[in-house]
Amino acid sequence: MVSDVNRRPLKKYALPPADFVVWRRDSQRFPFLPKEYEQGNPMTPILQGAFVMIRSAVVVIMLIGFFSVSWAVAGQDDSTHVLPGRIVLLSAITVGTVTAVHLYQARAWWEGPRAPFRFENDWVYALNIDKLGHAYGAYTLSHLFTYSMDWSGFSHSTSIYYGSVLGLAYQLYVEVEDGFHQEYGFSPGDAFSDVIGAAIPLAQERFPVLKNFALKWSYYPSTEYVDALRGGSGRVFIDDYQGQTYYITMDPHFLMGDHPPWWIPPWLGVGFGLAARDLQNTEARRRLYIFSLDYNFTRIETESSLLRSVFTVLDHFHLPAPGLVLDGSTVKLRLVY
Amino acid sequence: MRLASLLAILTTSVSLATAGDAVTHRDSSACRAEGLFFELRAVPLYEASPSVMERGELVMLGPGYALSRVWALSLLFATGSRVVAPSAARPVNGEFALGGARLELTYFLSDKGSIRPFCSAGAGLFSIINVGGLGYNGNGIHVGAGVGWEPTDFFRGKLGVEYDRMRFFNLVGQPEGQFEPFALNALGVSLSASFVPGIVP
Repeated sequence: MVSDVNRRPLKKYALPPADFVVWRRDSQRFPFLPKEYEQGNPMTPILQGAFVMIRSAVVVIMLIGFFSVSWAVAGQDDSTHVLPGRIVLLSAITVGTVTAVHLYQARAWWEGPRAPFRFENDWVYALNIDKLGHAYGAYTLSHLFTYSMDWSGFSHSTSIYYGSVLGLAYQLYVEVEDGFHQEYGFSPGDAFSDVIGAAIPLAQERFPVLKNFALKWSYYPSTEYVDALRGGSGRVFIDDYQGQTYYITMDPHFLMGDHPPWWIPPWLGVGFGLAARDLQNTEARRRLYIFSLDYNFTRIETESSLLRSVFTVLDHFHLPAPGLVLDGSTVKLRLVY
Repeated sequence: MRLASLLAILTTSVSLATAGDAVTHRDSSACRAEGLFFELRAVPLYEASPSVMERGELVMLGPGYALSRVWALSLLFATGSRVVAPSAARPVNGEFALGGARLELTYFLSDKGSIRPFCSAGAGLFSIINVGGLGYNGNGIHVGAGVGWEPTDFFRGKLGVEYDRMRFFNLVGQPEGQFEPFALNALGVSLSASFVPGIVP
């Protein structure tokens, strides 16, 4: 059976087109209250209004949240070194980026018909590579917010705390939007991954030994994705799960004490990766397991703050390196993966 | 009524059992009074109605915030399943996948000691969908009680019982719900683990 990999496979109750108008109108109802409760109830307009406002306000709340955090923390005693100019600049960049990403996602994912909000499990989708993607997304966004707040002069504990909160908030906003889309639904599994991804930076701060581990991502467009683009498809690379590999990497030096062997350079790490192939074919789809070398850019010493920033960003990606790929019962040595 | 009695007995027993503990234990290992935490919870659910046999399970994960040493608020995302037995009172039966989210307020009956009884209550939104794609939207409420254990300053375990009631109104995928609303009741044993980062902003 062949299905479109760009869509979750659990959608089994598509409406006939004739019902779409009713569907869209009905989506303004609050779907978790009984209809008979709404009919003739003086509270109904208020509930409906509140429902629409909540749905519309998610993005606004996120943006205001960032400003609120900045404002609140700026007043604390341990944040006297906060730089107002940088906060303003950072806030502007954040607002612009979130708006741009929202518009991009609205075109890429949410252009189809909307529906009453619902939850829908999708534990079999994309062999769970998407779940790793959600965790990685929350992890990376949390780090991004943390770095930004660090740069603005907040204390590191403040940055990492609110960085994780904001990273999780953004990921959940995406999931809530999915909940209103006819083809998706709010996936509790995705939310689980978001929570785990956002908790990792806090766990690393609480247990510094965990800083020797990292989540990384690599991407090489799959043939199916390239073909789809050539065919005029509006697909986005984030949904190209066959081209993505997610890694847990480790800096092995912490296991070697104060005097690691000279032949293991400080920037060399190892990683374990997970990928998927042939997702469009339910018979042939499978996971790939990758054992690979990795680069720990943050272990490269430099006096340049610009280079340090570049290395910090690069440390969220797995760049091509030699590795072993386990594909079914076949093991292949790849000099570059 | 039986449930209320059960919860009252459980709570009272745990309170008495830990009363001395509250006096003699230090708080050095206790989790921070305020701050963010993450909770993972598993709840096997069992029949609650006297005439209908049901079962299922909930697995929940989500963030929470300790408002004080005794009050905590959590947002838990839920996945699981419910098996609904045939009944004249309900239009559906069979096995359903369940997804949802619940907001929960927890109150610890003591602010001292590493073992503390608690009670909790909350409400949530849920959807159930069967293998044929037939699904329902609804809401739910729950109450629970049990005992929490904090062996370190970054971990909290909780064991408790909870009563769970979900009521479904909307047929997912159809603009009009052509069926009578139905409710699912269950009693569950909850086991949870929380990670408390203890990071102060």
